[in-house]
Amino acid sequence: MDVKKKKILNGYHVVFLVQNIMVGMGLLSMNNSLSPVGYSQWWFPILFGLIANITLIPMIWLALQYKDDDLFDIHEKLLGKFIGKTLNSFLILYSIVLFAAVIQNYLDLIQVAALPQRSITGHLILFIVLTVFIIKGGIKSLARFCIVTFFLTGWMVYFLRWGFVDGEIRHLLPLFNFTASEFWDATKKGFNTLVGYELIMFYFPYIRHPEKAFKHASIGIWITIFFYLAVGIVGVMYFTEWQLEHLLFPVLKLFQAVDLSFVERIDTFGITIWVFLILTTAGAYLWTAKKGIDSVRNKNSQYHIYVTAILTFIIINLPVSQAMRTTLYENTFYVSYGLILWPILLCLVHLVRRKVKR
Amino acid sequence: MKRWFMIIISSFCLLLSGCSTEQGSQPSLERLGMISVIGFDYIDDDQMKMTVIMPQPAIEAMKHTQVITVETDMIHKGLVEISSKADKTVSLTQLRVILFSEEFSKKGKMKEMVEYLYKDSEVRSNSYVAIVKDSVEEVLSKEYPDKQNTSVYINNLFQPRQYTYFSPFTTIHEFVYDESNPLIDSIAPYVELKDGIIHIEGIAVFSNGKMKTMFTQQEGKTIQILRGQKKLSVFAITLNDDSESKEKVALEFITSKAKIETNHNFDSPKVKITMKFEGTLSEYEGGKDLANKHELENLEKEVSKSIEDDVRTLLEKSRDLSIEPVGLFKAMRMRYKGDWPSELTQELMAKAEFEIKADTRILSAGTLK
Amino acid sequence: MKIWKRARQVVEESKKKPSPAQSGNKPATVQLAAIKKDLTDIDDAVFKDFQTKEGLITVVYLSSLIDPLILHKAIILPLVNEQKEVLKSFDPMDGSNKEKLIMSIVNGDTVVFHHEKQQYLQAHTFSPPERPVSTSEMESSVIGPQDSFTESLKTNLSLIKRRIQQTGLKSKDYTIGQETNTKISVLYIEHLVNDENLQRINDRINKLDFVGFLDITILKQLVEDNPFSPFPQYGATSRPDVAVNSLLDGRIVIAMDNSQSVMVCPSSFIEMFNSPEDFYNRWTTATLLRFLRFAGFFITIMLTPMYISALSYHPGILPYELLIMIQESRSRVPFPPVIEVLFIELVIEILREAGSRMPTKIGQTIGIVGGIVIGTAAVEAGLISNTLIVLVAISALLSFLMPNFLMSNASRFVRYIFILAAGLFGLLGQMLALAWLFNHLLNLTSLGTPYMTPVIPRSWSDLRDSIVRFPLAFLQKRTGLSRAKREKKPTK
Repeated sequence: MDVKKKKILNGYHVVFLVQNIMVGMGLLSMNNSLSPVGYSQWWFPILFGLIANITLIPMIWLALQYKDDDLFDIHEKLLGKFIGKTLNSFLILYSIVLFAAVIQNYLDLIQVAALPQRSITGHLILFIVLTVFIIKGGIKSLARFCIVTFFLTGWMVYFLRWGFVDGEIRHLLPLFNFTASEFWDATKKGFNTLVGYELIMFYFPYIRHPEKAFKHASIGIWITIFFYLAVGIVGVMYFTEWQLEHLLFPVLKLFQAVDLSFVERIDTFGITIWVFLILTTAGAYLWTAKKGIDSVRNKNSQYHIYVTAILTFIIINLPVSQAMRTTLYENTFYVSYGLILWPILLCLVHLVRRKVKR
Repeated sequence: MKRWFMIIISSFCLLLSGCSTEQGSQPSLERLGMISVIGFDYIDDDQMKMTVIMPQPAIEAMKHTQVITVETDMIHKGLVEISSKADKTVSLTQLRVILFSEEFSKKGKMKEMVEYLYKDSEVRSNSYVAIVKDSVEEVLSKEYPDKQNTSVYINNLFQPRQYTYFSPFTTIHEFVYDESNPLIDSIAPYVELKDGIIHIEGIAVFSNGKMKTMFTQQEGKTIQILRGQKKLSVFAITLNDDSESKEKVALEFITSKAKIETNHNFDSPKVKITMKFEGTLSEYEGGKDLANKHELENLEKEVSKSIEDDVRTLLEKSRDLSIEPVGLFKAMRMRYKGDWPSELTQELMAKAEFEIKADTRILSAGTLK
Repeated sequence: MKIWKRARQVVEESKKKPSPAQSGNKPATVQLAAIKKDLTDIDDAVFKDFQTKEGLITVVYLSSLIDPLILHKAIILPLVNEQKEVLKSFDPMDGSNKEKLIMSIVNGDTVVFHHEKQQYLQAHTFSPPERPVSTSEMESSVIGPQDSFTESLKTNLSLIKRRIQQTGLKSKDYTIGQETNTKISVLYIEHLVNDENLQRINDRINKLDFVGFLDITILKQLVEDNPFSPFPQYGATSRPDVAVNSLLDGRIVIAMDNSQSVMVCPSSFIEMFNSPEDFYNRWTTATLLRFLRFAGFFITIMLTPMYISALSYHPGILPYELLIMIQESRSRVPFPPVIEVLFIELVIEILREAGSRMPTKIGQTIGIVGGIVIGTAAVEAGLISNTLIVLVAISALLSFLMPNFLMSNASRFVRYIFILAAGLFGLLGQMLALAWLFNHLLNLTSLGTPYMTPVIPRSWSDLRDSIVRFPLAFLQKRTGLSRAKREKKPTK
């Protein structure tokens, strides 16, 4: 629908898009993936926030040079049509696999923790259809959904209160109780909680005030970091190192600590309402895939969404062993680290080309 | 396009909902046997006796709970066997209390059991753990004539209440937390079946997943104070027990504050414990004139002294048993590089020097003169 | 959207046809006989001849639309008494346009034909039976003005215009409906209304292609942005004070003849929970009530589905005492929770329908039969659990909290989606349904403006009059929703 790439995203849209695409399954298991560094993990979100903010600079700078182009167009312009299109095809594949990964990771958790006696097919269909609904309205529809998601899920921070009261604040010290290899291990595993902000390269042309985009994206990143920091601190206080290492989803145990008189097992409630956060993340990847296909085929069509959705459904239902699937998904997450660093290279190419032209 | 999708979706919904009711794969609430209390008795190293209580919802039923005992070696195997005995699908989603017999906790795999339940996503992590002196089966299958429903009774018994602050009311999260924390040893309430009712006797103290010893209620109180309990409802002390000037003091509505400081010296660790109590005097039996300021001060000092002695005795006793239920060295960990080994806690405990100071303030001596 | 296209085609085609009046060189005056022919078999059509000094005069009118007293006073008496220049007090008409002549007769005017001069004259005598202005039954309030709109467009316009006394208030008339020729009036304040909105609504009204308009709700459904949505996208009110308040905010109000309520556009989701009394109450009370209504909407669609989820998928979320209680009350119920809930919800709907179609006195009996007999007996027979009766009753009551009747109906419909979703996937299903609901609401527009406006802010000051109603001194700005030309309300 947005043939001419209309400028439709306001500042607050950018803030919430960046923020909600980042938060997803990663937060549920953040304490666990950071466990190699033990109790010192609580300040890692701040470090990650800094890294994210720094890597944001080349992305925005590059995008500002090509104000009306997304990363797909930039590829074609910088690297030539053939290389660009090949690269874009890989990006499409990457987004589809990530879309599948996000959905499947979540639905697997749902099956374990909330609906143990159900196969995932039923809610998988509903879930994909719902994502398609959201994406049919374009990026602005997703941005609006992100705003609602923020208000529907953000207040759950309050549930950390019980963990905070029961916790042991002395766990926060010492600050640097880890070795270099532990640090590397934790960063490698933990940084994927932040993956998602790099998608700004794809929706950048829709932003109404591109020059302010960096500020808004940074605000989004730091809102996320605030949530991560809260979970990080309370998780460290509430658990021992052994628990951090052995619990796959520590946030759920934090929710279980909630003691309300009228309802119990807040974790059930928590993971089901988490569906909003997953929908925004999954929706963003679906949208990226759709835009990619648009750009490779030089044609805007809503059918690309349906094709992508059906493809994802098939990928999830492929008869592949669980181990292989997990490896695929994990490696795709590492690819996103590459995508985050990729703009630096593109910036260099851009500079070289500009010199040559002169 | 949109309306086609709508139609497809709604027809899917209708079709699928038809499936869900016909299959009946998910039994609804009243067809589930909600295990509320589970208990373990020791048979031998491999086998254990598992007893569960489920509430009976039917109004016409004579008994309101159903008790089933099986012998098994794994929890889930046991649950399957229980299912075959009960008329319902059993479920652990409403598990509230987990009881272990003293024998089981001393010899058996209690730690593994609790960890297993902790990892099971069905079981809530704030279910309570407790140790029973003799047989768990007896406690669970006994009829409590003045209690309508055994499962409700046991469940209520383990809810923290005002006058039972001496008991730790350990949840499985706290048990696993203490167990996996090298700085502290876990504790759990210790109950006994006495005169037809369940009685909280004291505190069971563990070391490496096995029960080591039992502390009395009085010692339990001290542990709770040192662990940072903020509010104590009643504190009864007998001063100069053996001599002529025997005094009995009961304080009420006490706020307590315990501060543990260490000197961060691993060769000769010094632990300084400062405690502050504020409360009202509710009962007094003895020779002092409480209207007199100085005598009241004396009384305060004597009470403080008595508490100090209690704490010292407890710590000495723990040292002798080489256990550490308080967590004295937490502050030292804050400046320790690397992983803290649990042997280090024992080492420090053996070497530690204690300096204990208590300060009691009686806010009012009651309304009577 | 197809409807618009089709409508446009029709309009364009009709424009192409040359009108018969223009074809002739000099239009001939229509003969009285021709009119008579058109009015055959209309037995209340009256043709009366009067011989006056100025010549023979025929008076034509439909007696059912005209009050005899008015006719007598305005036409017959002056004619019979042969007052001077009586004919000049009537409006002259274009005698060559037969359609227009017939139209004015059908509209209730009296047409006077002067045989000698071959001239048609018209007198406005339309005076159908009307009921007086009474208090509003649909939107009654304790404080504030009590008058409400009636079925007469004229009365309704006068009720609005006497509240806004200035020339800026415009009222544009249209005639819609191929067969009914219903009159509507589009009201707006010229210096406030957004031109784009006005243009849009004019276009849509011009493109209308529908046989008959019996109530404004029909018009509303035809000019809505998304006709497939269960939610009403335009506001409706039968209170002149609410209509005026919207006008002052720069909205467009459409009134229709024979319709007891007027339509307000654009309108937002949150406004569906506003009651006119909110502005007359103190802001604290108003805020409390608004919060209650807004929360009520979400509770009413979530409460019974929650029961299903808790009982069939997540028994862990129930506190222990509640669990035992529900287990006991459910122990004799032979159905799964979904069927149980659907059954009792349907019973409630049936009761409501039956009660509202009955005369008041019988309606009360139905309430008693439904409430006591079905409720108590069903529980005692073990067909449903008494916990559920309480929940269903609460959610039924909550659905009545919304001041907008169409919104309350929408909440009833949406609840069934949630019930089915909960029956399918428990809490997850409910959350998916909620996500669908929000996505749907977010994508809805009302006259091009997002329906969820304060969530998607047009301007931040909108939040002051959303769920929290700030004291009136803070409500200086017009809402971003209406995109008024002058944002700030005038101050001294």
